[in-house]
Amino acid sequence: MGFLFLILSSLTHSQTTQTAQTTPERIASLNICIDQLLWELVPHERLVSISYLTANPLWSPIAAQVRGIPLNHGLAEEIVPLKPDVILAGEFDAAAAVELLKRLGNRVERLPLPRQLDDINQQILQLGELVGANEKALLMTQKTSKQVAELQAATNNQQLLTAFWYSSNGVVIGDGTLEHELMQLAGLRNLAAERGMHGFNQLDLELLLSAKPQILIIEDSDAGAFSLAREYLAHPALANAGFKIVRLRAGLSVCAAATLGDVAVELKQELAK
Amino acid sequence: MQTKISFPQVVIVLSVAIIATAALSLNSGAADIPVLQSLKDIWHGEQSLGATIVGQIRIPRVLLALIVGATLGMAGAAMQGLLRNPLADPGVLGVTSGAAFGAVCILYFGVAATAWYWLPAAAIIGALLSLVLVYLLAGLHSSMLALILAGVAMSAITGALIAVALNFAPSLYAMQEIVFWLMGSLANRHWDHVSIALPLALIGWLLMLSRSRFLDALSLGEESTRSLGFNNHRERGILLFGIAMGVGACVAVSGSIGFIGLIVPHLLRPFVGYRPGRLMFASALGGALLLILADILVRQFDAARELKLGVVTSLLGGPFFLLLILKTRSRWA
Repeated sequence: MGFLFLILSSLTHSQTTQTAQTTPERIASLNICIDQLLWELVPHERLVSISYLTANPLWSPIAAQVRGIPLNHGLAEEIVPLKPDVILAGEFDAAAAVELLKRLGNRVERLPLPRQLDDINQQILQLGELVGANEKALLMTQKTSKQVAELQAATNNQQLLTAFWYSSNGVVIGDGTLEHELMQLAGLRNLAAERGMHGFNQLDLELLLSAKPQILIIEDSDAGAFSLAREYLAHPALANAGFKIVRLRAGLSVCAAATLGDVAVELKQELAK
Repeated sequence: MQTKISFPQVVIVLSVAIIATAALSLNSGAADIPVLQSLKDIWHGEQSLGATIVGQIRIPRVLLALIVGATLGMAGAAMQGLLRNPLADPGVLGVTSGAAFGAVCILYFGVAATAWYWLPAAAIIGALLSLVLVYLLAGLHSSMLALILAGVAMSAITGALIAVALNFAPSLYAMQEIVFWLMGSLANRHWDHVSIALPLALIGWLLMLSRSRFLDALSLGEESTRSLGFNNHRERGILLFGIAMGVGACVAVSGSIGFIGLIVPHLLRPFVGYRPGRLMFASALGGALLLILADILVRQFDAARELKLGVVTSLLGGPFFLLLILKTRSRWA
């Protein structure tokens, strides 16, 4: 899932224009991450269409809850008959559909996607502003900030432990990522970043073992579906290597903004064990 | 080609070469570790870094290269003997991709987790189905063209079925992994894979080798096998089953690796007195040697994004296949 994040996060500059338009009542979203934030921010009956990915339990933690809400596959013809007041999309979602929707006279807002911890709160506030849920958005950011801050407080004044954040396909996560920032807050030395790795890189299993990390952070995901990519994380050599394996249920790789707080809390709990 | 090398000599030379390349293979890998010391650590049950890397990563990998290479080499020799056709090979005729299709169906749709035997069983059935189909389509006519065309069609069908199955698999990574199943790899394999492949591959070897005398007789024609008292149907059935069993068990853990069974029997045939029975044994050794070498080769490039094993064997085997076609042109149609 890292690839998605990579693509989505590589553009940092906001293209969204602040408009003085009225607060939209009927909201359609083409983006799974925006869906997850909207689910928290606005009454559910205001959502007239959400991304089909949001209804897929492989991608989305709220798949079971969104049943009944019309789904779209990023096609203009699915959105137009619903007559939404605003259509929300991520940076890179369905370029052709967005263009078409705009030309048909719809209000389309594109939201930038976060690559740093600071971006996340900004994104949530911006979305809150757009849909007229400023207060809820503020509460959400305060909660996330608190959870992240607690991660830092829990690990203050401790000796730095060495760690890799190890994900599917044998990919380790270097600097310039949210995972790296979280590791630093948690008082971990990211060995991938120390090797000069930037972003997401594959690391040979032998080299990973040779680096002798004290902690290996692994995200559980995929609801048990088999893939060779996940087999990397189940290699028996990892179990025998004598480092502590920290397993996180929630990951940042799909929707960082919606899961950041959970990841911080889990990471804190797991490291404290 | 007339050679003075005897069969035992061929076996000894190949065995020594396998041991040497296996040692070389244990020494090649991304991590820089003392292999001898690591082997000692394993022997004494010490938990060192080297012991983990050699014991959990490199030894199973060499063993798998050996098992898979031996099986594909032997299966190639068996198929060439059975079909009396020098272009037969489990990869070229779509038997390996049939096995891969069986494995994909079981792995990605959650059945494999219920019991260990589902995975090899499905791969063996996939191999057997495609093998029998090719055999029925082409084996009835002793035409090379018919065999190759049937093989091409079978490869295309099973390859497409793998793609379709992965497309519908409930995994985010499934479509990326098509390359593994079509090209094969030994990267990131471990002891579980050895324990799935080895027992069934062994049975496959025994089944194939037990029909050595039948293959020898068959090289003189079907009439002679019958006059020698062989039950042709039964013998053929056992051979086909042995081939499918070995190939299925291996492909289930390695993906389909092509051309081993085509190249090796050809290179070794002159050294075994053109006897198909002996050729199977020699080809098993030769196949193991070739695959261990190929596996060393793929690890020499960028370690993290290593080349798929089947790419190397295809680069070797493809031109070889063309040469064979040119050489045998006079016998076509």
